[in-house]
Amino acid sequence: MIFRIRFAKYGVVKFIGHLDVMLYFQKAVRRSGLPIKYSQGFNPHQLMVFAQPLGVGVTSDGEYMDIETEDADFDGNALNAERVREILGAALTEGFEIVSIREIPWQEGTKHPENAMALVKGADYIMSLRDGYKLYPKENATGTDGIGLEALKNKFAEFINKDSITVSKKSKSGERDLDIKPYIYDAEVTDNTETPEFMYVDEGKCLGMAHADVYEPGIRFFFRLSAGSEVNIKPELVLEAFLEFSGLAHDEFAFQIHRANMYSDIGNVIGL
Amino acid sequence: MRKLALSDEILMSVDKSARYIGHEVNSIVKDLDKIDIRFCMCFPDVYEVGMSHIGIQILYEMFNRREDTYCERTYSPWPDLDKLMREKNIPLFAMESQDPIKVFDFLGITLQYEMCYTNVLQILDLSQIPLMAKDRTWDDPIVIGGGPCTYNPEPLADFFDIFYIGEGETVYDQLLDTYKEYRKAGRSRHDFLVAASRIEGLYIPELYDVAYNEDGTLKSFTPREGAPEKIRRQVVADMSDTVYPEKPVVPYIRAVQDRVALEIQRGCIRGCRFCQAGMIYRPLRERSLEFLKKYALAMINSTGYEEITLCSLSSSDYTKLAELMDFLINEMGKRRINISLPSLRIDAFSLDVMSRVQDVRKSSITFAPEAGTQRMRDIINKGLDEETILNGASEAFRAGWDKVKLYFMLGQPFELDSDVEGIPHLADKIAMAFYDTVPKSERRGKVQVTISTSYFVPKPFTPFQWTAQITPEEYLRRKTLLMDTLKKEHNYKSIKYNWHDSNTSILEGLLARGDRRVGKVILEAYKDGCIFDAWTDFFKMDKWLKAIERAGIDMDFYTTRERSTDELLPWDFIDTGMTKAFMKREYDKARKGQTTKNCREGCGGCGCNSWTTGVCIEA
Repeated sequence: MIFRIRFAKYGVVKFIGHLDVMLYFQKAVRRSGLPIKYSQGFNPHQLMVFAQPLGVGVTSDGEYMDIETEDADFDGNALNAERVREILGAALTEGFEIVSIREIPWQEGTKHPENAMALVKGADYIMSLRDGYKLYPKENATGTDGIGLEALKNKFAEFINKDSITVSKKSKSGERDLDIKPYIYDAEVTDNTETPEFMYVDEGKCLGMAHADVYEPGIRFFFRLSAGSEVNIKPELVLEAFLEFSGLAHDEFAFQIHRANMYSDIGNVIGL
Repeated sequence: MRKLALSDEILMSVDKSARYIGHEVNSIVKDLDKIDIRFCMCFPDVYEVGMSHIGIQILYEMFNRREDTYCERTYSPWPDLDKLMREKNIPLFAMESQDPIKVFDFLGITLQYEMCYTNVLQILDLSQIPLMAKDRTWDDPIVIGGGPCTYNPEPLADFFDIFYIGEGETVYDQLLDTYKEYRKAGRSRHDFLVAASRIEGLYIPELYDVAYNEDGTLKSFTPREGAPEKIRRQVVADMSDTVYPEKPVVPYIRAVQDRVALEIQRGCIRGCRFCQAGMIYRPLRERSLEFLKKYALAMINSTGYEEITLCSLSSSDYTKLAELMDFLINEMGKRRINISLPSLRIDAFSLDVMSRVQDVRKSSITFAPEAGTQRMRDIINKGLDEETILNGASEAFRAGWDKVKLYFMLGQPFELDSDVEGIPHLADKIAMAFYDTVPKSERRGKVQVTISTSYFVPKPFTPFQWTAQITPEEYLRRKTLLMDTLKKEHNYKSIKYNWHDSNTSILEGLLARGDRRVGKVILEAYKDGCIFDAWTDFFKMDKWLKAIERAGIDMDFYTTRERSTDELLPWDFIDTGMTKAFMKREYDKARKGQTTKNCREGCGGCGCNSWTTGVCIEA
């Protein structure tokens, strides 16, 4: 059986890197007694696939992993999503939390369904200005209270309605110019009182912000961006392009990034 | 939400910030309002190293079983964070509560190797605790040291309030009870330390006066205020009726030893004359099979580790090893848990076991002959002859192994050039055994034999405690001799040679057999920026040499000087149970190339039977 697990990562464990998160879940599965399947060979490993790495320091309500299990648990009861949630959930520590689980239909012996990693096409992010930080005009770092929300919204609308947004993107083969406009599917800036409509994707609800920290300045950028193996756009890249465009600057570490969800189909906004 | 001592900005600026966030699986949370004593256990090296240490896990469990005590942990901040903490005046904190160490009642520091001594000062300094014990008040924690380096605590005497000599499982309760009593009664810190000196195994350095002769040797070592003349090492009598963790703390990042550690026994029967561990943990005491089975399963289930390792100085000497392995192979196999088996003597049994738990093609076979000739192996009482090594190697080759690691030491007493030359000779014979044993059609290329030599450092409480350490120049000469000899061996293309750095070993020699005056060297080196000396990237010999000069210390006096067996040694006030007469006898036998039987073959009369436990009372 294949289960796709959506989980949240928040609080102090946001500082654990992707590789260590994978090891954490491997240990958690072993502690839980969940009958996960193993690969063949002398050093068998658990059949567990993560959709996409999450950067160190980033929180999330929208991480995904696939696990492949036997059909029955240690007591001989048939496994189902609810049972997996119970068994694995009990082995998780604070900061890791199961948001939802669903079984991926699959008849063993038939072609393996595409895994979470292969399916990722897009992701939602929130970038919140943290306490004690502000956005200020580049040439006037001191002596200003920072830019207000209304002015910011206008600037942002101007930015996002441009025909093209060219940034220089680093890759293995050096830097190259890339128009990221086609990969920005949605974007909005708000204060703490509003949440953009495009964030309500979970049957009319917004599960993606449950563990997004809220900060005093009340400046939040929401992005829906291309993600996955083809074109992966980091939210920082878009934000930097906006700030460059509007002549604004900020200090290092000014933003807390939060990943809200990931999608397999952007056109129809279908989660993983 | 749980709090952190460090801001997000700092955590995002340093390497591997998960080292500092605590809250690991199985770490213990207690209500501070219901706690009388806060104890912080410290391993003075980086988190990944410290988290690999089994002793702290045992004591963590033991302290936290006390309802009135909350034991937390701390480690050395890596140099990147160290710098930021100094710049921003951030005090060092404990993992669990993230509270500053300064507010704790006790700071316990384990001393596992000499090259961590500057890190001890780093810990105190970052904790904002005065470096010198004499400058501390009740506003500071009681700083207590433990671990193998406390068998000569003198170089660190100025920095510690108490040293706990021996195994931690025995008298800590008495110490904590005394502490509570004295705090409640409003007694002075000094009065408490005097009271602590009445507890067996505890050494309070400030209660001892030291005088020196004109030639620099120790003249007298005199207790004051009723402190005992001798400090008796603490020994656990029954290793199957003592504390052990069922739920060890599991780090979020990969530790150096990223596995469940099962200590199967303590002590060693072998009596290798260079080996401090083999001498100071006597007598050998096994844990019962039932105890080990219970804890192996409990720890695997509570941690989720994918590997379990057996810990001991010589696992092959565990009498029920076959039964234990049957159990583990069966139970761990079901759970897909790997088993790792260090410190096994290579013979038919161990090869069979190893081939069942390891990938033969990927793993290597390790021998630690420690010396290249039989003459030299007899001098050090290694109890391993060439025939055994070659037979073991041949059997390993037949079973499919083709990688062999060989460990040796250069500079043990009475070593001749012919003994040095014997090392590559032995490696060559092993390579030859491969080509003799494995037909050409079954070889997957050349055999790989790796020789490693370390630079022998004489240690207290061994029969070699009086001996001269060879000079770094002499070590390098012997290393070159070894290499030149190797090039002439028939199979030299199959043999690789690694050697250990000479600078750290000579310093280790200074710190291992130093007296109180050597403390100044550590302080000077630390003030000049030395920390993480055990890490090649951070070790700065030039700064250490300057520190030695500033402290007015003659390095040779402590390292390359042969001591008279009549000399009063800085660590003589410790009673490990092993008599000085035995050590002298052993040193004398070494000189004559005579061997001593291991504890199971016949009692060597070391004196440790005064503990009336373990191998000393085996039927």
